[in-house]
Amino acid sequence: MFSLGVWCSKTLLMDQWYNSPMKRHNSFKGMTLLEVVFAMLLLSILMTSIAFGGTSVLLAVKNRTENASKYVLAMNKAQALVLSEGQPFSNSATFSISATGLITYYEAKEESASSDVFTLQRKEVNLKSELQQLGLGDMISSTVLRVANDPNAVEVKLGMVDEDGRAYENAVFMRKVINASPLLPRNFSQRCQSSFASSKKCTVPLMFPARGFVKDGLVTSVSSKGFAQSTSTAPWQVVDFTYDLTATDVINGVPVYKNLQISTSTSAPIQCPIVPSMMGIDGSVTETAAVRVGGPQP
Amino acid sequence: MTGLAKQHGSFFKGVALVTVMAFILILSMVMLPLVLGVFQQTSSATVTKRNITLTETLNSAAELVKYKLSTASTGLSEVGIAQGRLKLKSLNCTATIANFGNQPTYRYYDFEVLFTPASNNESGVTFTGSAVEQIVGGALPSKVHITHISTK
Repeated sequence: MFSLGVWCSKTLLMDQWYNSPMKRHNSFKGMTLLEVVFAMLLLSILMTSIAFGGTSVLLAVKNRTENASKYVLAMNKAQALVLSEGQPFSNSATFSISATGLITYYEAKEESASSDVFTLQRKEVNLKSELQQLGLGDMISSTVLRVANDPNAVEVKLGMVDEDGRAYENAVFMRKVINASPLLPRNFSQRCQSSFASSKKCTVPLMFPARGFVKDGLVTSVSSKGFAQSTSTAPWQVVDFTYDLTATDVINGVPVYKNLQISTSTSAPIQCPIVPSMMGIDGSVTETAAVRVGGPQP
Repeated sequence: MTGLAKQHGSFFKGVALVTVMAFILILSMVMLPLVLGVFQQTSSATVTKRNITLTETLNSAAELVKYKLSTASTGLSEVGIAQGRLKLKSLNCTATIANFGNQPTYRYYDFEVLFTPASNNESGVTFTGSAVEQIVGGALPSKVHITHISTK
């Protein structure tokens, strides 16, 4: 631009000044004063535009980086918050999501190291409230959804819009890993051996509560045939068993049963009830299982 | 005249140096918060990445145990996943309930799965848990229930 200015001034004004009979104008290092002024003018325009342009670019970069830092950090913080809830949620027996996005779940905790019966601790995750406490409540919106094709997963959608209208979105998943099936405890045989002999009845706590027996819908009592023998070498006899679910509780508004009571028609030392299929609180189903009480253990 | 020009030249050289230094100082002051912001973002992203890795490998560890038990596989006890390697360190049967044929109906297990991250900068994690295998019989695969899992 500077060269162009000098060239223009020389070309256009040469005749007027160089060929003029009048006295030559003052010059500065081979340039006339007007040329210098003109060049300085062009240079100042150039420098001003560079200064403003450069500043605006720098400011834009600065704002963008600061905004990115502010909003990306906020999003990372929100994401970390949701993920931190993921570990206890992976051990949840069942969960529900309210219309306002409140997640209620029941974390399974072992009663003791020797026991394999789990107690369910009710917990709530209020992400909106937790985001508010972190100072992100006004900045980040959260939507909690149940994943359509995975009944064990929760999707948390996080979103925000910065001052320039740029949208930041993210989705975090929390997944329930365990199966809260109403399984028999591992010491089932030992528990029931003496009970069957003395009272023809045995009550055991289930590892997780049951919603019911799966038989023409969900029922709490089923009678069926099983087997019994007087000695380990004697032939098996067909006997009657009745299975009842007891110890009612309510979880997520649904009645559930913590114990299984088995009644038998005989006091034979070796018995083999065939426990019907049961549905757990998370919808998982156990298979019908023949379980021997007494006799030689494998 | 020559001396004066030289003096002027050295004076302007000094000014130029100061100008450059001032420019560098201003630039560094502008850059400092940017650099800090980038550092914060990087460390924050690292924490989030580690949380995501833990969540995903926890699921994968449970799936590995399920696969191992339901297929009665004797060979596969280590798998490579995007985040690193999962190794079934131990799978101990702690109790069995038999049926009238003295065949197992329920088997109870405690397991340990070791996760070694792909990145050398991260430390490994051990997942411990318990599972129950229900042997359905026939040619059907066993039904495996993961009853508990957590990081050690």
